[in-house]
Amino acid sequence: MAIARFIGSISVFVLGFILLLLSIILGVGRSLDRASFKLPEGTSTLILGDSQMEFALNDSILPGSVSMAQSGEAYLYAFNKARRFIADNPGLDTIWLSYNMNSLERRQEILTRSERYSKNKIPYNFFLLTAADLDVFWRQGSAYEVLARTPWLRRNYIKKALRRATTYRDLSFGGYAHSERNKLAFDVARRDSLIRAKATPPPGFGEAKDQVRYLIELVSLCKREGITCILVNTPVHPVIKAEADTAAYYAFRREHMADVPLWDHSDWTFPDSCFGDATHLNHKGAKLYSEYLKALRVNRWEGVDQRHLAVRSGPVP
Amino acid sequence: MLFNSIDFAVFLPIVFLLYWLLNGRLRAQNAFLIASGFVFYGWWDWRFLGLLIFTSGTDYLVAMGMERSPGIRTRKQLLGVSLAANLGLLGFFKYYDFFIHSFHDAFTFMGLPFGLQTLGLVLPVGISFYTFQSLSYTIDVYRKQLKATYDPITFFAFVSFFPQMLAGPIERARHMIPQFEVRRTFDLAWARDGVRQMLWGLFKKVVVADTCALHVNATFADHMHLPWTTLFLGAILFAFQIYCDFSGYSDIAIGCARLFGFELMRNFAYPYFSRDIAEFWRRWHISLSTWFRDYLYIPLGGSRGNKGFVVRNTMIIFLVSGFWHGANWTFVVWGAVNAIYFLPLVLSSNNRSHIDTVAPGRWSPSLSDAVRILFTFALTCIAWVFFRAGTLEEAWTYLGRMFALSDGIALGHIEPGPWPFVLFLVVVEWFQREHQHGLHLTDRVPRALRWVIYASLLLAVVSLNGGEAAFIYFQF
Repeated sequence: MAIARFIGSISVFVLGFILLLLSIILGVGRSLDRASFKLPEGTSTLILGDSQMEFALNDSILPGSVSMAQSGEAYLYAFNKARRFIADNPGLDTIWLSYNMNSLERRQEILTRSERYSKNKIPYNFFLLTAADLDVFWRQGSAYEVLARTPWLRRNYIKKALRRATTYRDLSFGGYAHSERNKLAFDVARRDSLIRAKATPPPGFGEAKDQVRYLIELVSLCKREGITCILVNTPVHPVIKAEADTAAYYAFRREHMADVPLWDHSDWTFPDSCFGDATHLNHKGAKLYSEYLKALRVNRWEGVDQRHLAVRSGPVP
Repeated sequence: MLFNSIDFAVFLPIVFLLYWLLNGRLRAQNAFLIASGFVFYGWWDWRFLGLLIFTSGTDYLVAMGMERSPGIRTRKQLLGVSLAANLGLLGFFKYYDFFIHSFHDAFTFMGLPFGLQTLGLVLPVGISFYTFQSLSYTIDVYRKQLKATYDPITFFAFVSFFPQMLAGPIERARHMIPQFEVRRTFDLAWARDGVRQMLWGLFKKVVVADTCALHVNATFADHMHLPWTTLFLGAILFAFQIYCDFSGYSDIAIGCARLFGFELMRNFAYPYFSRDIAEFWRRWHISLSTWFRDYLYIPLGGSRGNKGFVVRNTMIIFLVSGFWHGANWTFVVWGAVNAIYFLPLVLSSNNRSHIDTVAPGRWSPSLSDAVRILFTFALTCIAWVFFRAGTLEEAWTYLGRMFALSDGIALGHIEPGPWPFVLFLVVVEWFQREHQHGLHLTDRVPRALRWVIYASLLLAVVSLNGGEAAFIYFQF
């Protein structure tokens, strides 16, 4: 039975190879997990979220704050980062979490369910995920392919980990991104033309199931751990609000997170020179915005125009 | 379906198991291969299956008609039908927009109006391959070199045999159809070597070609601002990219066919170890070169006749070969450049000086062979620039900047990334050059060592598989 022998030896090899690959990935995961997640002394605020937060908040201007926001960040990853940082840093008392006009739109499902994003997230975050998170990935073929690429994608980290003690800073986990982008005019023109052509699909805010699930879990985690969670909507160009479903945005928060403060700065008027594009601030905008927040915090949020900092529990007038 | 995808990793074992479960029932096995071929092809876009069925069906009926008709006139007419159906479809899908665009430019240049519009047609994957393969059947039947098959299952299984239907090797009916007509038996050594060849092909595609592609794309995209050293290295990397991409596909196809008890023709025989361009063309894309030789060059008269006749035939064969690759003048010029390289050899009757493997049984080539190999490789690299560039202007600018030694000796941004893999490939293939493929291992190599080699290569493949990059030759 030549064919049985062939199938037998191929099966043994494939099984052995899968075990080898798994051990390598688990080994890399263990090494990543052993990195220190201790934040600098005196850190009380952790900044989490997507590219809007990543570009808008310069944590070097905000004492006691560390940004771990990152482009394309799904709440799934933000939640798992928060879990780990809270566990390792008893001094943390506040999390500023990105909650913007498109965070929960239906199309944001791709943040967890597309290779485009998972290839940049899974190899860097997989060791933080728990069994409860697996249902997001188990049907995604691309997720296994991406996971198999981990040893190669993390080879620089592995070299570093073998040489010396490593920290969360070595994990490509996020942080303030200094942006010199200058594409506002182009972006506004493009979005304007889409709005005029009514080509923009209905946003479907609140229909990105994974995003909703992990946002709610993150908020609950903060409550359980006694951490103040503040939702932040960073300044954007007015064209963004024109294309967003603002009513659904505020309604969702009212319905699911009414007791969670929302700093809605989306209608702050910033000069055009502060925007990298319609959605993101550039480094000038980040400086201005971070200094505003710093001043507000130093003054314990008093003596400063706080109209926009009000905790909104209802729709914007 | 791509060979380097999860889909194929699931598809292949299922088809393999079901196929051998049908062992002993030849027609059922062939019918199953047709179904598998249709699934494999339809995975990309099932609507284009209609074209495959149309061309195959036409050729099946035409060949039967030729077999039954003794008159040369009817046979010629039937061959005309086959040529019109196959080349008509190929011409329409592949070249219609190109010609409309070219005529539009020419008419505009002359200040004349031109009304026809391009259609923005999608090129059906593999059409250049399966039409040529099917054509070889009707031409062979017309020439009475092959008897027409009356069994549609056998014929359709031949045309839609999934390992090679999308990008070759372009098989000959007289080599393949007899294999579909006899009972296949599973040969363990044959299948094991097939899996090794598939693994080597995957390694070449995923690890070498795709890694080179990142750097090549960056170099060609920014060639106006890069120093000549970077352009020079970019051209070399493209030579390895195109070789590993296409020969990798052929290795996977040949290895995969072996799992089902079929032998496909060799398509690449270490072409970069060639000592002149004639040898290069005997070792590069062998199935296409021999197709053109048998069905175009020899009918045109080959190299019999005066020198003008030989020049004409050589130019035709290389220009048509270039044009076969794509509807762009860059491919035509690539063919012309190769013809120019080739002509001195054929005119001086030196085109068959090197028909054996270089330095057989030796570790290293002689100095003269080494110089010849490097010189031939340099010539092919220059020609590849035309093949890779999007336009003729881009190719000229690239070569112009490269040979003008622009920006001194600055090394630009080429990173070390693909070079270790390229070096590994060259070393392995050099030592394996007397074998069919780079991973030919005998049982004299201890099993543990063999498995370590397989695991290392596979580890490199899964680690570097950057999201199923398509094979370059799919577009042809």
